[in-house]
Amino acid sequence: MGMTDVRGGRLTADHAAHDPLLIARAASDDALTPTEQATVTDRLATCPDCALLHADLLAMSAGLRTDLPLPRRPRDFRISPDVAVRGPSWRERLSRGLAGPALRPVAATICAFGLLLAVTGAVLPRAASTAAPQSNVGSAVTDQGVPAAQPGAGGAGATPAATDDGNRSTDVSGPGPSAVGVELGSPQPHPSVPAGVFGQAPSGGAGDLSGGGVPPAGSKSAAAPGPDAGDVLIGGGLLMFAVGGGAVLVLRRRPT
Amino acid sequence: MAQAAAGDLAAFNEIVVAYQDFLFAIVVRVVGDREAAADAVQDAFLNAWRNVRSYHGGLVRGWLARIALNAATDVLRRRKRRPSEPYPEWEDDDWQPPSGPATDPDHEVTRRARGRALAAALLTITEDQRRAIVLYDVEGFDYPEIAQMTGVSLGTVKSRIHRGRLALRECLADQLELFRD
Repeated sequence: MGMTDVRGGRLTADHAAHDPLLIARAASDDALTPTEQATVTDRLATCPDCALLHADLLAMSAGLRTDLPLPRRPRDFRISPDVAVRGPSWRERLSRGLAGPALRPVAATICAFGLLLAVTGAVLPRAASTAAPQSNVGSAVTDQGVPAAQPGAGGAGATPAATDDGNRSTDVSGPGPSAVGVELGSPQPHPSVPAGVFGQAPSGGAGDLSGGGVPPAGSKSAAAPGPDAGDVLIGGGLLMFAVGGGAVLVLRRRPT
Repeated sequence: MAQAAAGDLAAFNEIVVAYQDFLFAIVVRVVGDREAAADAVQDAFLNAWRNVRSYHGGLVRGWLARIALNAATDVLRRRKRRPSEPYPEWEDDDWQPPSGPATDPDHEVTRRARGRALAAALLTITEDQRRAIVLYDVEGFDYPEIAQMTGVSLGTVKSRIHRGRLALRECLADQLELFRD
């Protein structure tokens, strides 16, 4: 293959196996090693396609220098005094600050720290999730419920009414200050609240209605298990890793 | 330049006049859109004026080209989010003929055809390759200058130029006769 007579020479090369990049380097005066130079010389002498490629690249390079039309600028770019005294807008300052290469190390640190957090979270023992199943229900709502029942507020037969957040029980039948909030899943209800009044059984958790209580309407969050520390670490770490890694990719090095 | 660095706007505007054609030629070839390039060059001169005190010697041409290329990069990034029309200006009359003594009409026609073909092919290669080729082949900067301007290594600059030229040749495959005697 390749037995072609070009420019009077005898050509035996198989062009497909030749590296065009080497010819391109030779055509742009890149420094070649003696071995590379010898290879190029041989290719140019024996392979018509390599010789043509070399000639085309040289001709294109010359054309880029001499044949490209000179674009005519559409306007004058001199800066007027009123523009000159005006500083960059807040948006320019912000984008310049955010796009600056100085933030790359910060982003990389965030990325690395996030990865570390995620790994730490993954290897943490899941103590919280295996400790006490009944405590899961309560843990989701304990931050809402404040045992503040007043003596005499509401009766033993009062039906709790859930407010719109679904976590707080309010006695609407009593005239005085309401008894607000009970730790629904707490194994130890507040001493001032009779057992079972607010759907709270002494030992059964919120899901145990044997005490005659009515579960608060809309308390669906009470049925969901709360996240443990490991999950939080993994989630947060992965988020930091993603944000930091994305920022590293986006923030490009820009010479000033 | 010293006067400009001292806050003399008139002195800076003399620099603008001296380099605006040069900068616009670079940016429009990298961006491929005249209006976007004009905005980028205007931004570049404004940035240069605001940061003129950061100029610490060296070629003004290189310093300005670096700022203009950054502005061109911003333009290209914005254009990726909001694609614009194709660029018919490569064909229109606003492109001045290249300088140099006119030769015979046939040669001139061929030369114009080569110029149009090259200009169109330049828009088909990657942005990085185009920037390197415009700076090296069209504007005549050397490898180290381009490496400094674009913030990449010397090897990367060379690679972009070599691969970009090969890509150009691929794009011009059916018009290569224009470049052969």
